[in-house]
Amino acid sequence: MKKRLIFTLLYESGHFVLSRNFRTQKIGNIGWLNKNYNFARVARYVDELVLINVSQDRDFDEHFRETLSVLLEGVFAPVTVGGGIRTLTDAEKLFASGADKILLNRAIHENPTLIADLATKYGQQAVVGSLDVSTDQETHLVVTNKATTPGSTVNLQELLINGYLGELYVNSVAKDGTGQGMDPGIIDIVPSISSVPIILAGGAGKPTHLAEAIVTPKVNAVATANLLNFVGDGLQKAREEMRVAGVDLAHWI
Amino acid sequence: MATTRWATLMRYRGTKNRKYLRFERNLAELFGHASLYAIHHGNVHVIVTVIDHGLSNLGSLVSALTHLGHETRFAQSTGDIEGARVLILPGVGSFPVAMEALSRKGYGEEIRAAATGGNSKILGICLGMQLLLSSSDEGGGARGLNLVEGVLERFQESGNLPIPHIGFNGVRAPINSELFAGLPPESDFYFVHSHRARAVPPGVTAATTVHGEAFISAFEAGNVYGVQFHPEKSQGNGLRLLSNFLAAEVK
Repeated sequence: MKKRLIFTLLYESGHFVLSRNFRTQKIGNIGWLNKNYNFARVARYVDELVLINVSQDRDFDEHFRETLSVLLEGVFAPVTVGGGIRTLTDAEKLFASGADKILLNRAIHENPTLIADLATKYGQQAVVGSLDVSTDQETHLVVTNKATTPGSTVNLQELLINGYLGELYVNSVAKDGTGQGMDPGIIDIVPSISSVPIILAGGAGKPTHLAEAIVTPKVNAVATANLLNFVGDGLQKAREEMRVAGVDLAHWI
Repeated sequence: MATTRWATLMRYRGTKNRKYLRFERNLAELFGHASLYAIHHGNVHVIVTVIDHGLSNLGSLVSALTHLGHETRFAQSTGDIEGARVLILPGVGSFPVAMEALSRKGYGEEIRAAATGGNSKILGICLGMQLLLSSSDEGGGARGLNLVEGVLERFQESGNLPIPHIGFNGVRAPINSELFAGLPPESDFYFVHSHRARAVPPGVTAATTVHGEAFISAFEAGNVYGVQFHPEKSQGNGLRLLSNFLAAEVK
């Protein structure tokens, strides 16, 4: 299998946002994104896209789905969508708006049955587990609710054993949005019984950070949500840098 | 650009008309050079009949066909399949469930008739490709449309081999392939599946991919084409492959 470069877009209450240690900063709406950057072109340099709705207010769910449909016009790559998924119906609506896979974070801790149901209906490959990992000294801990609540890996173990998760998206709370470089050490949090692909996120501020982290043996993919640093030609540069470093990435015409 | 009609632009195809050349530059900039292929080859406005058996996310397939300048219609009845010249059978989900859905609607026999009648061609994508083969061991086993001989079995568990097989992987295609024309001998496509065919009969043009072991990732047999991967999720490579299928002559 090829390694992957992933771009993550965070949406909050009508806008795309930057996150730094889970505090968000408004950047611009879809009009801004399309006016300043040609998103379909940006998407040609990544293997996959992840879109996460971090709005507290569920009234924005519909606008998020509309944004999704507009954003994905002319994008011919796999798309994972997360945020605010509480029921099978929530997920169905996202699949109908263009999602190939669904990303779930709180449900791992609070509603594992939903994950089992999604995997049964859409297949394991359509369900991605998201883990926010907090680091103190060398100790890693899963946290939830925007890093406010400690979580456990008991449910995660169970979900992995039963084959309900197709991938894991592992984000560093400490590195999130800092642009100081990624922390591949956090993937130690993934139970050793797991053989599902791991996506590492958090901390990439420049192409070199992504290229450095992707060579970690258990890291199958690296993701950045650093909208301002990467939305221009940053992803293209990151891809070139990885290729020069000998990373086995997909190539297309 | 927005005020120039598509038909007007197409009249300048292949000329040095400035508006037309600007349009091509914009298109290539936006979507890559693969997107120009369909236009250069003149297969504009192919009407593609997509057979929806109710289990697939068809948004990106329709979007890719539209992007390449073609029209998509969904088969609503057996008559729609009978009259179609270009058919696509997509699909995700379970083999027996999909076969059951096709039979219930009476589509199975119509697809067989269309694919063997000499007036139509068909492309199966992912589960759609699997349905064109003889049988699968998925969900207790089921027979397929048997347009090309081939048996699907789940990937063998071994060591750390991830199942399902998800992500971009290389596809090695023979030189005489129509689907892979213009692509490198090995090109990358996006896969999501747990069952694979290991062999097709001699005489069928087949492409292979390695996941643990080599398996059949695409085949071409007369007017019947199948790809295990998702061209609509495979960036420029996928657009080129779809263009190649649409440009292929009905035999």
